[in-house]
Order: sequence, then structure tokens, then C-alpha cells
Amino acid sequence: MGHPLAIYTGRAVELGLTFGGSEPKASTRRAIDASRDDDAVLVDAVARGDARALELIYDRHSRGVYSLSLRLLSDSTAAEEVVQETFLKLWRHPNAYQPARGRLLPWLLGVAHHHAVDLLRRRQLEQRHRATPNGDATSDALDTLGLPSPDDDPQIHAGAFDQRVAITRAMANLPIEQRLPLELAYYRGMTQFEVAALLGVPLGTIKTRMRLGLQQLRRVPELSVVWGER
Amino acid sequence: MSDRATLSCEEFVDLAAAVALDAADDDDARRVEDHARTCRRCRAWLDEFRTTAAAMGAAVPLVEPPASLRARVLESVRQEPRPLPFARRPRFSLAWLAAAASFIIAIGALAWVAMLQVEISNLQNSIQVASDRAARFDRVVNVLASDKLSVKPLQPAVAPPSSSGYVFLDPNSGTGMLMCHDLPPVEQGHAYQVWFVRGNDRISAGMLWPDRSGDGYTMIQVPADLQSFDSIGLTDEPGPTGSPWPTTARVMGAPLR
Repeated sequence: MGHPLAIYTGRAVELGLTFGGSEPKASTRRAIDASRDDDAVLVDAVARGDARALELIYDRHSRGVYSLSLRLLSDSTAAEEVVQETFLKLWRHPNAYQPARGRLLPWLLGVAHHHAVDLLRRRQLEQRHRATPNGDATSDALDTLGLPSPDDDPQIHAGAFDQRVAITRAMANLPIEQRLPLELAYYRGMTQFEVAALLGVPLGTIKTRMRLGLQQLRRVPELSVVWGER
Repeated sequence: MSDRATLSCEEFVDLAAAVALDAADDDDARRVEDHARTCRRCRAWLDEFRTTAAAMGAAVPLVEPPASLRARVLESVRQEPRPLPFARRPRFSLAWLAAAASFIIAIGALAWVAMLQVEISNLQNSIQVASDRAARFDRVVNVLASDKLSVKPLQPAVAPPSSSGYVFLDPNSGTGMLMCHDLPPVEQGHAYQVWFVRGNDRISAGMLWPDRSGDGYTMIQVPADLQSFDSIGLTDEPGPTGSPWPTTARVMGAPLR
């Protein structure tokens, strides 16, 4: 499946969530730079009050934002609310996005994640999601957390999501003591205190493991070349 | 939890990871943002962590949002007040900053040049005044040094008895000098006009502008046929050029014969 951006730019390249591959080609890099520039241009237009520009941004990135929100909340109504709030924030405060500090989609996902976690905590939905730390709590939690295995994900199986494969594999390759805090925090919306309590590990250790886990993920070649390059 | 004042860059990095994962409380998030605003390296760390956390978000299985959501989002946008045009914060490049600095320097330089020009103009005026004054002194010296110099004391006519003065006449150069003390004050715009008197003739020789004390001097034109004139006198006349004929009574004067 091609990314919606291809519809508007006419570029036959895979962008956004479908980028990737072990060694991105120069043409892909150029297309990524162009995509970033396009997003920046669109956000500039939003800042001038151009609703059509926001519409284009929605068409490009709403799927990613909705998917993350749904993954966190397991509630389509709440996920739609998060999507709406995320794009409204861009409309109301376009200055909050700074192109010099990264691409637009990560920023939108960050906004959506924050909204979703806020909803989770406010509605105490986490009680429905959290694993109870008893018995083999760690392995139980791991079984019900995070991303599906690349082998189990039909979309990945279809071969169209190289970057997702890379991230999923990178997550799977993390030491379990780093992977668990990341997944509990990011996909379950748990605070660092809750993670420390759940895993029975000092708070300082949890902070360090979160930091090491993110640094380890950052080293994934596809991530550094395509996603995070500024 | 670290104290705000002692949040080191090492503490920042661990805390920033939790903030990027939305796992820190609001107070910690604020402290991280505050620190990042003052430390470029830590700002970069925070951006890196947020980008990487977002990559975790992009790795979830994709689900198409309902079509109705698109319409709802766009409708809610239409109902919102439009952002003000040009609301986006301008991104100043070094070139823009350099241009702005150059502009400010240029404006300052222009103001400085204008100030210098005013100063130069004032100096030029002062030089002109001093030059005129020196020229007058030269003429005074020439008059006083003449071997044909004639000096006549001025006597009050209608002026107070304290009024006094002298007239110095040099027929060689056709120039003279008249100086007075304690002259009665004149109306604003008026001055004393000097006349050479011969029968019914009155020849204007110049104007005298006394100071507030009634003192003053002036250079006068001496007729070539000075010996034909009977006397010299001063009358109060409107300035600055005086009158073609005396319009008031003589204030002071002196016989020439």
C-alpha cells in the first residue's frame, strides 16, 4: 500500500510509514527531504489559516495517528477523540511544530501519544490494561504488551512495511530489562513510578533502562537514516 | 526526584527519556523543558528521544480511521477561529540577523553623521562670527592707526546726561567707528541710525545696535567730503536698514567743525 503522500506529490516512492529497507537509496533520501519540506510548507500554510493545507496533512498522517491512538486506548471512540484533538492542536498552534527539530509525523504522534496517555490516566483505563504482577508477571506482561512479532503480523507479512519490521525487530532484540519499561510506559501509558513498582525495580534503574532502550532503538539504521534525520 | 536547581545534564538525560515516553509527571516534564531551553546538547537529546519514541508509535499495526472522522475533524477546524495570518514564528537565519544588525548599524551611522553635520554647521557659524569679528577689529585698528584720524566726543541731546560716546573718523579709508555708553533703550526691532548733517542734508552712515546696557559700537561710512559736513548725530529708527530720513529727535551728536 502506498502512502497517501504519493497521491499528492506524484512521487512513486514509499514514504512515511512505508519507508525503509536496509539501505535507503539516494532517490528515497531526496524524496524524504522533499516530503519534509512539503510538510513544512503545509504547516506554514496552516499558520496562515489555510484549512486546505490542514486537510492535506490529515490525509497524509491521520492513519498513523489513529492507529497509535487505537493501540493505546483500545477504544475507537476515544481514539477518534485523540485524532481530532491532535489535528486541532496543529490548527490552533502551528508554531508548536518546529521543522528544525524533526519531521511532522513524529511530532503528531508525540502529541497524540500525550493526549492518549492523558485519557488513559484520567479515565483509569489502565486498570483494564495493566497486567497484575503475580506469578510469572514479567513474562505475562511481555506476552500481552508491545508489538506483534513480525511473523504474526499479517501486514508485515505482506512485505509492505519495512520500517515497521525494522522497529519491531529492534524492539524484540532489546534486552528484556530495557524492553519491558519502554513498552509498559509507551504502549500502556504507565508512569515511571508505576513501572518501577510493577517490576519491583528502583526508580533510578527504570529511568536508566528507559534511556538505554531508546538509545538502542535510535541505532537502528533505518530509523537513523529515514525517521530521525534532521 | 532531583531538585530543580541541581538538575545536571546526566540527570536530565535519564529524565528526558521518561518525558519522551510520557512516563514522567508534569513537574518533571517542566523541569526537563526548562533545562532543555538553556542547554543545546540536552535539547538535542530530548528531540532524539521523542523522535525515537514516536518511531515506536509508528510501528503499531496500521488501522484505517473511519471516513466519518475526517469529515468531523475538518468540520471542527472550520468552526475554529482561523489562525492569525503570519502567526508562525519567523525563523531568523544568520543572514537575516546579520542584515538586521547591518541595518541598525547603518541607521546609527546615519544618525551619527547627521549629528556631526549639525556640529560642523554650528562650528562653521562660529567660525564665520569670529571671522567677521576679526575683520571688524582689523577695520577698527586701521581706523585708529590712521594718520588723518579725527576723534570727536558725542554729547547727549535728548539722551540722559550719563550717555557718552566717541566717533573716530578716517577720511583716508572712508571708514569710521562710533562707540557709545548708556544709550537709552530702544523698542524691539529698532536701532540707532548714524547721520552726517550738512545744512538740510542728512546722509545715513550706518546702524548701531546697543546691548541691554545701552553700550555698543559700529563701523560707519565716512563721506569723502567730510570737511563739508556740519555735525554727526544719532536717532532712533526702525531696523534693520533704518530710515531714508530721520524720523525722531537726535539722541546724541557732535559738531564736526
